[in-house]
Amino acid sequence: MFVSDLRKEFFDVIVTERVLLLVAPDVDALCACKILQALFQCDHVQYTLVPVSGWQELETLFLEHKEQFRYFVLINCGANIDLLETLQPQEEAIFYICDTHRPIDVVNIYNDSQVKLLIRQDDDLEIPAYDDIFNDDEEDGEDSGNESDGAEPSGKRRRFDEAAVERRIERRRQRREWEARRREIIFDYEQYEYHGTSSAMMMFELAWIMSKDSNDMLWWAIVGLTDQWVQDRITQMKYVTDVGTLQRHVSRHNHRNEDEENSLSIDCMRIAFEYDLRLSLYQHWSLYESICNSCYTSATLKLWSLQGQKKLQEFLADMGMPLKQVKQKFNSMDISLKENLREMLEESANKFGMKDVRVQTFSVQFGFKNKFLASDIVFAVLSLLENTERDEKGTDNFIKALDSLSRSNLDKLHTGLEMGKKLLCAIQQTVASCICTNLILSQGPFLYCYLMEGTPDVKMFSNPISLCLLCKYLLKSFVCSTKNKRCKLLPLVLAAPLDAEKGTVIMVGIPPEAESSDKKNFFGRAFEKAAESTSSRTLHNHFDMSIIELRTEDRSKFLDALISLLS
Amino acid sequence: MSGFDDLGIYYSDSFGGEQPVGDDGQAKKSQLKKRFREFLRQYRVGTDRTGFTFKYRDELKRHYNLGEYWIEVEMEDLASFDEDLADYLYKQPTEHLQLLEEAAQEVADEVTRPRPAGEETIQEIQVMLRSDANPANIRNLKSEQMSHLVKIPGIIIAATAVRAKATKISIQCRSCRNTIGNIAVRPGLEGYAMPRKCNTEQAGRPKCPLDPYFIIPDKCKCVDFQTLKLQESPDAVPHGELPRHMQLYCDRYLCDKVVPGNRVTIMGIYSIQKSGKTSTKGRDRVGVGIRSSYIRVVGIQVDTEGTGRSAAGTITPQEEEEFRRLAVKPDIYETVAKSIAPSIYGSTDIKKAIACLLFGGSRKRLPDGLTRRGDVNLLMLGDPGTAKSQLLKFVERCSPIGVYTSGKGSSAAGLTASVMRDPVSRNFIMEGGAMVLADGGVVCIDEFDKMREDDRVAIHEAMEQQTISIAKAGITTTLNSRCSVLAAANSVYGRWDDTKGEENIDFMPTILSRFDMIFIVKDEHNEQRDMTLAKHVMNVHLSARTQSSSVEGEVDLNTLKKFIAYCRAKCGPRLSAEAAEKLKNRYILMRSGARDHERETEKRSSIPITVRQLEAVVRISESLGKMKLQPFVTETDVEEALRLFQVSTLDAAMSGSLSGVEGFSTQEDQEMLSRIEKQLKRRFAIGSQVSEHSIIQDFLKQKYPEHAIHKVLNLMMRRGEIHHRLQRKVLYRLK
Repeated sequence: MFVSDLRKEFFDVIVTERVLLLVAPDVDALCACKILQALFQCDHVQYTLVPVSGWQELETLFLEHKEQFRYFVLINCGANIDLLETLQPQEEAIFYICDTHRPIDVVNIYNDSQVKLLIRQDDDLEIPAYDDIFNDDEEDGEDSGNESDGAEPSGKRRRFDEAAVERRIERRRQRREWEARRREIIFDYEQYEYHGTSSAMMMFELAWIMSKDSNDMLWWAIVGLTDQWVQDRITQMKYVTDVGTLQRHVSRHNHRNEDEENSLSIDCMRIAFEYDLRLSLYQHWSLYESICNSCYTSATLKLWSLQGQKKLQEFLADMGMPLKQVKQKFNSMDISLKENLREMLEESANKFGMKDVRVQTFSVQFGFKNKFLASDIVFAVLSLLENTERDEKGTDNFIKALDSLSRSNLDKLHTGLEMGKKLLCAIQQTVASCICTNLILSQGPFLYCYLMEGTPDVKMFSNPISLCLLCKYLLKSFVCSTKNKRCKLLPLVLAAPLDAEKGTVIMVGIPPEAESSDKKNFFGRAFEKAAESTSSRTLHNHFDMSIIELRTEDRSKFLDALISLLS
Repeated sequence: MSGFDDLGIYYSDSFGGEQPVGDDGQAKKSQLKKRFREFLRQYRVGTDRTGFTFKYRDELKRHYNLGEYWIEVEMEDLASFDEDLADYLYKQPTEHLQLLEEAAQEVADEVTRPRPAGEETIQEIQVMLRSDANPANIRNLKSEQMSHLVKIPGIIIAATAVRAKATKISIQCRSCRNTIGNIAVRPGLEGYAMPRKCNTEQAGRPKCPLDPYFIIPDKCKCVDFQTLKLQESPDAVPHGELPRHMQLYCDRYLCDKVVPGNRVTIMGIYSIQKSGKTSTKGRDRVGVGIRSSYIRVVGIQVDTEGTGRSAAGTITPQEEEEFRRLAVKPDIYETVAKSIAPSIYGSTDIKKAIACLLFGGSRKRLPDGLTRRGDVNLLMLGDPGTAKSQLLKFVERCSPIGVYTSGKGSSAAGLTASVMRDPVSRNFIMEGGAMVLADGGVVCIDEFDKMREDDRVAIHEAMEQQTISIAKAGITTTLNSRCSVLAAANSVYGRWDDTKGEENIDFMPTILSRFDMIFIVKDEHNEQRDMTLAKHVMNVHLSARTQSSSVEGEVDLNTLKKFIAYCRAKCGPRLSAEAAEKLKNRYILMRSGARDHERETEKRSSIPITVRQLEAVVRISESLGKMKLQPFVTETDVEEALRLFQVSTLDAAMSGSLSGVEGFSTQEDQEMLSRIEKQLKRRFAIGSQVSEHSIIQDFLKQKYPEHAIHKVLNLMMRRGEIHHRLQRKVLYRLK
């Protein structure tokens, strides 16, 4: 059931209770969790925070905690599967689900008592009508028919019987038809996987309704939205619309007349709408490295080739930037160059075919030194979240990433930024080597690429978010590099070794890269079907259905099935 | 440089502008100074959650109260406060740094008021700069960067003594007694040209002669200064080129901040000076505009990473806590040993010995003023390709102070000390060699056997007494060289010859006895071991890039280095009573064992067991205790020290004739070989030649196995007793 009044139906209910917060490991969920935590803190709500990485963990954690709690809040997990069937909860348990995964399972939608969805209804959900998929009164109809039969005078029984038989046949036919239609509707509904409004934004809305929104919360909402954009989960249209929404909040919170007496102290947090460069982390890196390692620029300039490198030099020359300054850290760059950097870069980028090098985003500043773009924070947090350097548990990484979002843990954020740089470099190198060695093969209905065991940095890509990022960058770069027109419109399946000892690979599929792409992904169902038909040993553990774990031996037969399924 | 040595800038407006330009410049200057003051006073870090700290204000106060009149400013902080200020400082550092220093002085005045009686006058504050920018290279310094702020990495290779430089001088005319006071001298290496004429025109007096002025030293204000020589860091030098140098000038608190051998990153103002010596001839005025460049240093960071003398710097309380935790781990000894050269497979005992060498024992000063050394010396002898040099290179990187030399390339004077003539003062001065430079650290000598015998003798004193005494050219002195020696050598025949026993070792017992541990590294053939070794080597080559920085159970290099420096500085363990008792008994056993062995073999071993070896064991056990930061050495440490000593020196000492057997399997084989050799020598006179075929046939007839005959011939050939002649058909006996 959708919750229409977030305050009355959600917050006012749980405000006196102990709540279990189950949070999926992605940046948006972390931001939403941060906002909710801040709200809980305001009202002294007791809660327990538990990170969940997958379906299996969700089940075990639920079993562990189900006696102690009645109210469960799930962030970025749980909407796209029949929760009640999966978890088998007791009657009085109530789930609040705030999730971006679409489509929402119909049972979750139409369950009135136990599942409450904190999801905006005006997203184009295209939920099938209740009557089309559930048929409560079928038995009743049958019974009443029989009763009416019995009530009829017996003299005409035969005829009636015939009529009844006919009616029954008719009804059965109708029922079959209805079921067929139902299957069709369900199939249409569930075929594509996509993402809806960011959870952080939903939570911010809650805070706003309760008039408890602050600049910090607003910033988390912005980071949550930017995460969706960085990971390419929502369409450009939706991003722009949501940015518009948030911009209104930003100007509401940060409207100060910038004159002498009522100017804000520099230590206060200030969020500003920016029309900034589409370069990752450039304010904390050097411009050169940022251009080399940002997906957009490196894909358009084809930086993996020698020609691309030359083009980059041309590009820099066109901008009028001395190489020495470009390679200098951005902070220490000559100020006269920095002043008009954005305009200069945009002008030259237009000449080199990068039309939209500037994007709408937000920046935050507090104190003298701390200035971040929203995407900086996203990269920092997600690389903290998927830290592979030490053999630490996922929970530690989760806590670290969560901490890095608050302003008092700047050192964590800075380590995150460094790791983000490493991640981007690793992605860029892997993309370059995949394209230069032609590792991307066209399998007919889709492109396929497998990262060999032993490739540098391959361990980094055993984590879902990094792998998805790599996959998206790879596809974008491939589309730019290939001359084959047909290949440009194909989706990509990428597999990377997950655990060499257990012999498993992790596989992800993403929709084709196109201008008008609606970011809807059909691989979730396709993987499921292919696994069923070949009885491969797969594991649908991730909340994203398009990421699966697979035994290495089963890979080829799974792929064959996938090809035949999709062609 | 605060206003200590600038007179201010004066403008002359030849076009006669409307408003006085000098005032405008002055106004702008005071504006900037105000901004600088605001920066120092208001710059703060932290958030509203964690609370604010006023970084520079607090630091200024703290330093001032400690009597240290300097402050370090980060360029990034300045840039985040006001980008223009940072830009000014980058592009015109000479003027603006002075403003910053004046501002710092004013702020210091504010924050330290009221000052105690007698200290009312505010001291001048030196501002040092640091920056986070990517450093440039000496090679890339071009003329366009002249008088800009630059950041350059390198190694300090020479430093002059600290001298005084006048910042304000007073001069007096010798004829009219007229003094001119408070003449500011420009900072840096530029001098001051005295006025040639006396300007005071006084009626009724003869004109003062030319060059009448002299300096009154009493009325000069001086600062310390020092010049350094910076060399490009080796990794920045392009292939096939020699490193370049740059002269550095630093003053006041920057003096003596670094010593030769330090790896540093300097911030400085790229400046020019009059090139070296002006020729006295005066005729060739060709080089009028030509100036040589130098850097006026305004900030130095000493890098703790990398080889050479990299002072460990200050140890933070967090690090100290971590080291303490590390030291109480039960397996710290294994961990340290494992962390030494992890890319080298096996040689566990050698690595353990190297760990002992790095930590070192305790140095003792006896009541009569003599000292006993605490440093452990180690010699590795053995086959080529057993990663000896690799270990040496690692120790150079890992030790707080490490010097690496190769035996063939170093002379006695280069290792100890040399006397040379100073080009400036024409006096004889001393220059320390490798062992003096490595004082307090480790000197690694590769190819120890290739050294000339008399060069090797030169380091005898340094190794045991840890001093170097010089009596040359009127200089008689003693230098300290409290360093450990880690030497690597090949055996006499290039490879260890098992049949030869201790003839392999071509060192005098005098030098051998100075080594606490001697390892004989043999390249043994063993299929199982070769397999794992090959796998390890392949792994190293294949995964050179993918390998993560530190493996479980190892300490990474930088931590290890700091840990070693910490332990060496903080801990000097002594033997406990039980441990001493145990050691005493074992020594007696050891000595009798060696005597038995000598009696058995009827010759004296070249590795004697003397009191020195007892001291060696003491030192090793002390170093084991030091690793654990214990005040006393326990029995287990002594146990382990004895074990290490056993597997190293004693085994080497025993390897004499016993090892001769090892190469073959049985005593009979050995006897047979010697029979063949004897017979061969009897029948084969010196200077004669016999066909090889006939010899072999001859012995075969006597039912000797063919492989044995070949072996004997090979051996003799290797010893140079026989030669092949006439297309290897004929053998010729030389001796």
